[in-house]
Amino acid sequence: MIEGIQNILASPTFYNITESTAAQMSIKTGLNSIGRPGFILMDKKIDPHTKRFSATKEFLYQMLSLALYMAVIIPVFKNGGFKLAQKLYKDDAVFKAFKTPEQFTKFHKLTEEEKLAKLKELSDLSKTGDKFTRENINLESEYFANGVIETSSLIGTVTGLAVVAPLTAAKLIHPIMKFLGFNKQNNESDNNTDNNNKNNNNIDEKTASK
Amino acid sequence: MSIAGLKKFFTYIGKNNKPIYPVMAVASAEIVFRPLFTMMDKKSPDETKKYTALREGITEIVAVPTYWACGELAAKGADLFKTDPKAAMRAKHNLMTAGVWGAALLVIPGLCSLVVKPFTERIYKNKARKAQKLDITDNTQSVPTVSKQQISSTGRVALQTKLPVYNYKMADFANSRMKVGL
Repeated sequence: MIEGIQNILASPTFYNITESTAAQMSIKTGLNSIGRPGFILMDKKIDPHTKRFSATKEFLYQMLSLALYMAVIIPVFKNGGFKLAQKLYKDDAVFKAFKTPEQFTKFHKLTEEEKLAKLKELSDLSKTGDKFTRENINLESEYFANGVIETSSLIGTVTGLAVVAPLTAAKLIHPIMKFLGFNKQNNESDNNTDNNNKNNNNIDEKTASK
Repeated sequence: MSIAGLKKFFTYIGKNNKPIYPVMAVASAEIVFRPLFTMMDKKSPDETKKYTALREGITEIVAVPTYWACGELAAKGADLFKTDPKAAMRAKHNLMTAGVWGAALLVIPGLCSLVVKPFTERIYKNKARKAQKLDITDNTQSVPTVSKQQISSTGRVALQTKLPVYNYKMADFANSRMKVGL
């Protein structure tokens, strides 16, 4: 039993998935879309209508962020960062051997023997006649290329999830909520102050009718 | 930073990329940006915007140390793998990621329910109390008014008591040093 748990915890497959910033953040955002609305729905102090409104809004926000992150942000920043590094570090063998971040990531996950075979294959396919060995593409240069990919993913993650996603989601959420039948005027009273505002509005209406 | 310095930085990140870095970076940026964008929304009422912005800001402030604590605490479980250093390295990374995911799914929303709600409620209760003193709302308690004496239709006010009668004589003021007409 303990051995089984240890095997899962030290699993290389799990490690390969969690090593990527993009994968980590995508799963984390997916979990946010379950956890946050779930806790809003469990709150007994808010009325059911407001709860449903707030939970749906949070769920939509997280899902839109996830979609935007996976479809636009990561590919743009990851590829952009790698291309920029290819220009800045022209002479580094690691950037000569691998044209895209995906090619490098696949190589980085291979075993030592598989890496040697892959480097030989890349040397044979090279049009410029470059020879790729474990001497010019060693563990240090692998960390370097991996750092480029992870840093550009990190910049993309912060820009995407903290700046682009809230701006885009704010514009998309209102029409979607309207389409789903959530009337903003009736539902956005998720706090005491709003209730007070409501009371004040009621009084205004009463005074106006008088 | 020079190109060579940048290379060292990339190598360090590539070697030591921890799962807590991106989540903490995003949460730190969201402390500023999420409330800012909420306040920029012109469609929502002012009070709702303030409340939402405050709630979002506090949520992210709670999230930053929680991600760090949960990730680091979960990574302590890698001590079980003392015999195999490679497995220990993988387990440390995997456990840290699991800790971050656990924080995102349960710990942060749970903590926020405990911390954010009472905090914001207290702020708005104080605000509502102040408003109650100044504004008349449905919740305002009625104060009994003191009945005033009605004025008669003739406009004359009936005296309730007699005017006091003063029985003083001029002789009483003879030695009082009071001077009249000078």
